[in-house]
Amino acid sequence: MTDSDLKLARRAQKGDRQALEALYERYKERLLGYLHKMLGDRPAAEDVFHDVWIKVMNSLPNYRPTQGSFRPWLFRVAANASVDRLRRNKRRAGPNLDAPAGEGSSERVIDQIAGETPTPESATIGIEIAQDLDRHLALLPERQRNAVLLRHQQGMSYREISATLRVPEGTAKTLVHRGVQALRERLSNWSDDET
Amino acid sequence: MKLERTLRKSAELPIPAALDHRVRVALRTMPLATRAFALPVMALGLAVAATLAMTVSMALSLAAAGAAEEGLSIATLLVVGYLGISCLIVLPLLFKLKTVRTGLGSAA
Repeated sequence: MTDSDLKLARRAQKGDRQALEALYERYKERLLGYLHKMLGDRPAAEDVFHDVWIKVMNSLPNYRPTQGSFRPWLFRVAANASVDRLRRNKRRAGPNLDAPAGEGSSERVIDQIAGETPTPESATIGIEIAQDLDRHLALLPERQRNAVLLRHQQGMSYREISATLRVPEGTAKTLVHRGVQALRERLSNWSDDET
Repeated sequence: MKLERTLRKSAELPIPAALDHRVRVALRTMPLATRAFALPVMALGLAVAATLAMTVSMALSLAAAGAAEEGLSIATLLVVGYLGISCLIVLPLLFKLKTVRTGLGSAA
């Protein structure tokens, strides 16, 4: 039988590194999947992924098991780290994602970002669809993108999303709803009836 | 729905071996932070307690010395004021326990 997140987190808080590694093993692939979609860039996602685990080690004493399960707490650390990274990138480069990628280029900056790092899922769900989704996710406001990913990519409940984003449950629902609605409008060329 | 299905398929990404190794090394060797009372907070608490004790004793002395009503009201004012200020300063500090890094020696 595997230990619950709560047990592992409590043991990790007491300095048990094996428990911390077990939590890492449990969440590493999900976390990278989330960060990749959140940042829209594989190298940046890997970079932030490393930082997130360092932050987890440093902030573990601040995790209160009584206030909720480990997963929302972990994804909150990841969400904050990815938003920090996005803002830093925006400050550094300041690109308008819809602007042309270069002088005389017909391609937009966002098209280049989505095109430069083909992801493993691209192979299975179709490069075009994956890139389309990445492109439009990147255009969503950070909070909406976060909420949509936590709900529909990571399968979190609204309660978990509200704990992760530190917003009331109603706001979490609204963020997901608006995000999905915006994506649907932008991806209207996708056929929803297709199965 | 296609959108949800597409998102769901991207939920997990395999970790490159080099990154996995890097994170595991960090998890095994970096010092773990543990919750503890930081020394400055403890020192502040002690200082507050000591001064409070002095104030109370001064108030009692004033009252005992028979400074009558005036002395007693000054003493009461001192104690109440001091307790109020102490609560405002110290309680938030005590609730927000400082985290200190321990186990530096245990780092490999």
